[in-house]
Amino acid sequence: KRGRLSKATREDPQRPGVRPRQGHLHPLTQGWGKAAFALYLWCSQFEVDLYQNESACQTPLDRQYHEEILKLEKAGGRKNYRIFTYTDHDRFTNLEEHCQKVTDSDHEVPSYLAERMANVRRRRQDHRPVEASSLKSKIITWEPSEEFIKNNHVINTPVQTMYIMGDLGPYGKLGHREYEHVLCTIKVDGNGVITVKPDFTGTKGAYRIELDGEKREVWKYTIENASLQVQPEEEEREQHVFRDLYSRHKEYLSGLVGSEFETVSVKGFSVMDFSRFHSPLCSCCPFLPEWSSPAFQQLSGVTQTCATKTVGWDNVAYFCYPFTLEMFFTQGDELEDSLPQWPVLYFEVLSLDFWQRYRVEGYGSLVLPASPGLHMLTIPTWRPVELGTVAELRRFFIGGSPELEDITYVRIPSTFKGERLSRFGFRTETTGSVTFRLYCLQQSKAFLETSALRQRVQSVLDRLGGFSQQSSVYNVLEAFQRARRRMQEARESLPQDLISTSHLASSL
Amino acid sequence: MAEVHVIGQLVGARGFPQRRLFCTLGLHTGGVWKLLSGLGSGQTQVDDPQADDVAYRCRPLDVHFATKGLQGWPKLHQAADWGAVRCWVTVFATYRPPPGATRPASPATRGGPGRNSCASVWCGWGGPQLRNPEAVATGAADRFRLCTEATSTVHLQLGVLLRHFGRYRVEC
Repeated sequence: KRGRLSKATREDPQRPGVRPRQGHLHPLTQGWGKAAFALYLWCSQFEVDLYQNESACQTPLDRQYHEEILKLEKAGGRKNYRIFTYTDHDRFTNLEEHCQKVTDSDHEVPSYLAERMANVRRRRQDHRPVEASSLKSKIITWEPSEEFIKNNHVINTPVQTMYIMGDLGPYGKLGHREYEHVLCTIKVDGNGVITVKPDFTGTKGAYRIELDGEKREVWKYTIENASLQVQPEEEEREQHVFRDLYSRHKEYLSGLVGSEFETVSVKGFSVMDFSRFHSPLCSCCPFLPEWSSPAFQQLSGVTQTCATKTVGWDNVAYFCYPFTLEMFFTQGDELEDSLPQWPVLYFEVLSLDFWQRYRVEGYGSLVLPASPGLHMLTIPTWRPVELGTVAELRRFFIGGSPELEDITYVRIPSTFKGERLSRFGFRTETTGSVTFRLYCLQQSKAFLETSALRQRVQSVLDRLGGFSQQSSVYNVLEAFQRARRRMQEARESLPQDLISTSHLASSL
Repeated sequence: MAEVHVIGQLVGARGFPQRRLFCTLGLHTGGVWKLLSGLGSGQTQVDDPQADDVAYRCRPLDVHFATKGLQGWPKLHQAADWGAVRCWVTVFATYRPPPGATRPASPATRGGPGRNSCASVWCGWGGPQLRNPEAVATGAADRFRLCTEATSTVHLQLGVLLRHFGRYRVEC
């Protein structure tokens, strides 16, 4: 028995509308790297049975499947029964990723946070705070809606996944979920890297799947890359377009900030007797005025939950949460007379305890450092409080506390247009502090002049040399040095009276 | 190509609940980075501190990278082991020692569901371990699945030399 898997086909980006004869076509253009890709996707027998009935369709995608399956049946049925796919939008993918385990513990259950995250994986990338008409708009959301929670507490998973599945059931028994096996996982991450796991078979032998049933059937399958190679002219055209784009961009490009960050620790939150189960977590989302970042970039994140530890007088949670941010500064014409604004990182600390009580512990923000290098920043935080004993009791016993509707209220609210910002009447309480360790790199044409100066003073490594390819100037200099040394040696071996005549040479 | 040279040592760890500790370490870089020389992963000896609770390893670290881009800066990940307990830590190699003191401390967090970890430390068996420590320690996407507990501090001494970054108009 042999399944063959070689169906990932690259389409002409100019004609993305070409449809295969069988199965579904999902133009997965978003986040799939440079060119538009189309992957031929098939449905399983299970899905055919499921989606044939209209009543089973819940989402618009389900309804689309229903229509396509009906069309397919009319056209004479499917040719392929064994191999099918699940994509990012299918329920299976969510389930599969939801049940993913991170530790090898048998008793690991997805935490409350992970469960919540599973249902809301895709946050709108272009999410901006809603423009409020007046300053009297609500600062605190007393009753956060479902949509609000989704928008504010959830990250956007930058990976798109497709599973190629095999229905390995015995003949006549297709369409049972327990016989479905993952043959191959294709992942596309934010950087446009396509990961195929397991690898293309190539010269290695076929992959084997052994079934558990009575017959212990063994299936073998191979994975081949059957995508058409790009024509050189086409590739050139693509390159040309990109070069054009970049050069246009470069005209305005004054600086590029690449930063490496790490949320190091959170200090001093909630000194209560059950603080052992207290686990602050933090989400970061910078809102940028005239800064742009690559579209695939993730501008928000959620750390793990971490139980605190007592260090001295403080309860400390360590996150060690690495994140990278890359931003371009484009200087517009209107900015000539005003100073540029630097990007801001907003964060909030939340706690989720053993009883799954969920509280806001603090809000804070920091302006990214303008100078390159290492920066350790400790940011104090506060949280809004509701007056009255009842509110405090509620917070203590059942969790839940007032939240900011717009996190930019931590600094100057995005809706603010006046001259004086007043927070009179807004009550807060001091909580703890969050420590960030930021490493900033900056790249700009303007640095070229200073770096040219610096290059003249060679570092120790430069003189040692030998690791990387060296610039042609350096090679020439080295050759010159060698030649000079050889000449000096030759001169020393010569009799003294000859040297006095060739005095000119020593001036070298 | 610009180069990054990391020379230093893993000094030790402080504050772990156990005394006899060793740790494994691994370096992770993005796709445009090339390891010129040095070991990308390793393991230390077991150290049993006699006086204090600081376990000294003094494992030298000497790695050299060449790169074409800034993305995917090298990350160092450590997992401290003692029997069933495993802790991990991420460290950036971007650290540049300021003149004078050079001893950054990076805190470690212990992976695993918070409820079990307590018992497993006491019983000494069945402590949860990360399935893919590298991905979890260095990537940020799937962190929310994890419940951890703050444990200890790992000490490193790193000297990071950067070369040819100025040529590419990068200041760091």
